[in-house]
Amino acid sequence: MKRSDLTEFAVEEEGFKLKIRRGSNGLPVVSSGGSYGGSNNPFAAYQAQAPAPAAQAAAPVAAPAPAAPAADDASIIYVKSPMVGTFYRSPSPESKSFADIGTKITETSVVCIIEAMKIMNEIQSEVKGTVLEILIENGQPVEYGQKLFKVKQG
Amino acid sequence: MSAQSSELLILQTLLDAPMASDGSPGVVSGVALARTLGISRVAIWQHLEKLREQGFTVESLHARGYRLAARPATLHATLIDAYRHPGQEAPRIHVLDTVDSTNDEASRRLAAGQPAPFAVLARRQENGRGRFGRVWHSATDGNLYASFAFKPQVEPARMQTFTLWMGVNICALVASFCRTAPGIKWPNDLLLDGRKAGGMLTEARMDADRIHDLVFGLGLNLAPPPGGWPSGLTPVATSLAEHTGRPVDANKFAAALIGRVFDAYAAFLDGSYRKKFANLWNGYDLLRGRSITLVQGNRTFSGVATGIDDEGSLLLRLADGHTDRFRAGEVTIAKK
Repeated sequence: MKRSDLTEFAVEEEGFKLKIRRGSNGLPVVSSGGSYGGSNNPFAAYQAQAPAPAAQAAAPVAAPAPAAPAADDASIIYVKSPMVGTFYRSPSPESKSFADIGTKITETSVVCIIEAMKIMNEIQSEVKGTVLEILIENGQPVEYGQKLFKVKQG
Repeated sequence: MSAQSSELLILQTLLDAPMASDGSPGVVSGVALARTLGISRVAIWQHLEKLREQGFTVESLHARGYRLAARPATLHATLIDAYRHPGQEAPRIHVLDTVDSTNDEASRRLAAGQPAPFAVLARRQENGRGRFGRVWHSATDGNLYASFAFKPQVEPARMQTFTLWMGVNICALVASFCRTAPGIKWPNDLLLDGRKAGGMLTEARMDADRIHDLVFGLGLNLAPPPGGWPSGLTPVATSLAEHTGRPVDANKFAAALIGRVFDAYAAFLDGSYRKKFANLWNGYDLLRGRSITLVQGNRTFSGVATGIDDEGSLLLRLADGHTDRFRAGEVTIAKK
């Protein structure tokens, strides 16, 4: 699925529901159920299909990302988007970013805003550690479950 | 009965007193008040003094009783309470003279541990905000700034349509209160006759699993600024008073607004809103069928708006005939 064509993507963890929708050709594709090639990990399907948007959109800030979607290092954790919306790194264009590469964050640190239909959602990191990478550019759309920040825990 | 609720009851009784035949405010006897409240006439008198201190003009008429000759014209917490329906749940209401932004004030109160729900209303905002710090013109007394704090213990994805649902409820309230037909411009602008009369902004704090708290903010022009609109805003801004041709009682409106917002919030959380949402939206949707331009970051899309989907995304039929859905963006309506 090319980035430009990706208009909707949803993953539900419990009971595993995967929804893909492409509005541009008028042919929504909706799949659900746990039938993804014998994998019992719902996110395996997600990672197989959609790692590209996050990684490629992050070009200006990201160091060359390792190809494997799974983190080898157990101390690496990702802050993911809880919803579909637009990603903002600061509360206003003139303001400082909530978090930059190297910023130390705690569980309650606000790391970004995801806006969806005039709801400005301040996202808390839930993890304590140091921001290693910001995986998406300011102002870009994000999907549910999309990785936003790569964090080294500790 | 607390002193505060006694004052409220006295105020409600005075407000409800049938108008005299010459149109002057109705008179309530001190004896009747004392009997209704089960307190002495001296205590009644003391409560009336308290109301006077709060800006109410209570006249004493010899051998007849009391009447409310004048009430505060600007936002007033006691008066708002008095206008509220007795059956409705009464969240705490904070009315402030001046605040940087009612949303910020509500957020600060949440951060300080104040239990939700509650409402913050202001007569003036020094720093009213639209999205991303855009300044919302607000240095006047004729307007209403209200923020409502909630702690919905639900997963973030459920809140997608919250601002839209609140928006159509505000439209319905304005329609019944002012007998005028407002419209909503997706996702959060309230318009009267093509001019902006208000806007909404919801701010939430959440992590991946749940929402911690949420502040819904509304700015609504009840009346034009005392000196008229700044010249740059004349063609784009309006107010309820200008549109309907008569003044709007800010306190009555605030009381109705608070009731409506809390009812709408309850319906949103229990899911019963779903039955009504699409119909309400279609009734107030200003974009449907119009040629619009939507700007999303550095990308621009033009087409004809065809409504919203059940997740609140704007549907836009593009030039190539395909319909795309958009969750965010700035909409401009093309000139007819």
